Amino acid sequence: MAQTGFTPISLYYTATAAATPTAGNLVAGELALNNNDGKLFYKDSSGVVQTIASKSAAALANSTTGTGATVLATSPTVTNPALGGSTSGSVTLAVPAVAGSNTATLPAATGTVMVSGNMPAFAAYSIANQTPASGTYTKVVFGTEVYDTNNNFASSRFTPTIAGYYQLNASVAVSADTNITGCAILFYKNGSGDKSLPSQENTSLSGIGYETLSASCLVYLNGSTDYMEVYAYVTGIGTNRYIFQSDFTHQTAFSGCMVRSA
Amino acid sequence: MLYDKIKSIYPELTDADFVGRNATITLQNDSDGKGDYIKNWSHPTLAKPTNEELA
Repeated sequence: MAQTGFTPISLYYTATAAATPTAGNLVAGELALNNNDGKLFYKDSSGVVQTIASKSAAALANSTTGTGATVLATSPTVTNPALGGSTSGSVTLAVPAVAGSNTATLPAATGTVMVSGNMPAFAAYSIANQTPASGTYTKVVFGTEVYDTNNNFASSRFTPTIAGYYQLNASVAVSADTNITGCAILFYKNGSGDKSLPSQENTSLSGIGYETLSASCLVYLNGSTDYMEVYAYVTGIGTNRYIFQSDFTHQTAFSGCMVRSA
Repeated sequence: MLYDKIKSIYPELTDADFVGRNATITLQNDSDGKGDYIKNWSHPTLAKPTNEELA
């Protein structure tokens, strides 16, 4: 309704849903409106009617540049976009090459794209000697964190909050008063040893006062309740046994990171 | 030490009973201040010591 005392200016329009103007309806420079669909039309220089605006958020105006592709305008803002078209093959997201290559290709597979923000990584090492009892599997204490990108490492325990497959690495330096007779390093999952996790054990040592053991594993962790720890034991001649703090040659350390999502 | 107490009760036990692939007794310490404890006891002939024996 026009304001009183003023003459309204109205475009050529229709209120019929899905109705579009024909080329014959428009002259060069004329606009047409479908106020039911919320679309604005014009006739291009070739005489073809084009849609230049739509109230539908999903309908993006296509650029005429590019080959075989839809090219968006510079820095478009798209909310909840849905890519349509072929249901096979792959979708390629490409950005202008500003410094080397910057192309991301998504394969035709279901999964989660992993970036640094959702791939936890941690590293820690021991800062105090431990004196375990002989023949006793003892949790190794890693008192200092080097990094813990997702705050998933605490009390010498790694409890990732993102489900996935994790590569873990650990080493433990041990000794006995005179000779070590046996020692081992093991990963514990959820408080117990796991037959699928690699370990290292030496039980036929002779004349050795020091030993550094190491192990690594690839393990699935559910991102909520699963956790990993490192245990070790040492048996030897003498009254004292040690799990050494890290120094230049005896590293007692624990590290890991996600290698793929669940 | 729990290991020493068990060895004093059963002097015939060796390290091989506690560690290694043929171990039948598992002692564990979770480094939580609660000390050593028997995680598993499946020795074929020797009975698990009672708390009184280990006290």
